[in-house]
Amino acid sequence: MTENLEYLKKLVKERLGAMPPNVSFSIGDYGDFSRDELIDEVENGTEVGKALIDMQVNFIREMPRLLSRARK
Amino acid sequence: MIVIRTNHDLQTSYLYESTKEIIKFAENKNFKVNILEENEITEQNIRKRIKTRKPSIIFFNGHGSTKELYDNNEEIFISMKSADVFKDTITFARACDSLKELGKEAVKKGCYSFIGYKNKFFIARYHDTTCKPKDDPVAKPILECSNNIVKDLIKNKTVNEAINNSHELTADYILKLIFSQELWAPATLQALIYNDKSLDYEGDKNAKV
Repeated sequence: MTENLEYLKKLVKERLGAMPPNVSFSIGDYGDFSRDELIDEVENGTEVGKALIDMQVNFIREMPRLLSRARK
Repeated sequence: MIVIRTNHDLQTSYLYESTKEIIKFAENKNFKVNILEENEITEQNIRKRIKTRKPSIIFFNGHGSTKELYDNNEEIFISMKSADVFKDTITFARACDSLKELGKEAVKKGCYSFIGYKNKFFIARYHDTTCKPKDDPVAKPILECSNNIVKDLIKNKTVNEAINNSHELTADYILKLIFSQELWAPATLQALIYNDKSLDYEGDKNAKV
């Protein structure tokens, strides 16, 4: 489980690292976070970091289903 | 129609800005739009406006939690206890988490249908347009896919149709973004997909204005 979490953290940090520095995520009442702040949040295992991991895992899982909905 | 819109931080400023398009759209369709903002956002004011205006749609924009909605001072103004405020309306709460419990409670207390999000509402955004959210290409698809729900309700579509159309619009954007050369495209994609999964409703799927 811990290994999985560490793997997910690494994956999410890599993906966030590929984002341009002038883009951020506003996450409800958690606030607004730049790319580098997001990477720190994931590294530190905060609530924001957990929300991001959830978002990234969801992205990978949902993509095929959502694409099948696209209008031809 | 009543539009409740907070505007006290960066996140809510994006929601606030995107309601302008909806207000214009509704007025063009001959809807009477009543706006509650700043310190007008209180439970008492909403009850008063509902009593006099009898709105068919309530569109809330701001912060939320599983059991509450927050006003412009980040104070709770709607809770499980006051969820009856949405009675006899179709309500769309563009707020984090509120569908989970508040939406269920609202429907239990007479709301025809409560549309909302089961998790956090993400907005990907571009720093260069911080002062002009409406010109932000990164946030645009995210706000448009949720705005589309209200537009469809105004066009007399059912709740189910409005949500399905929002899903389809999201899928169209996903296709465009996948092939986009813009460096920001993956951020928009991720937020879009997360919000789309979290979007749902409680109550009558056939409810319409």
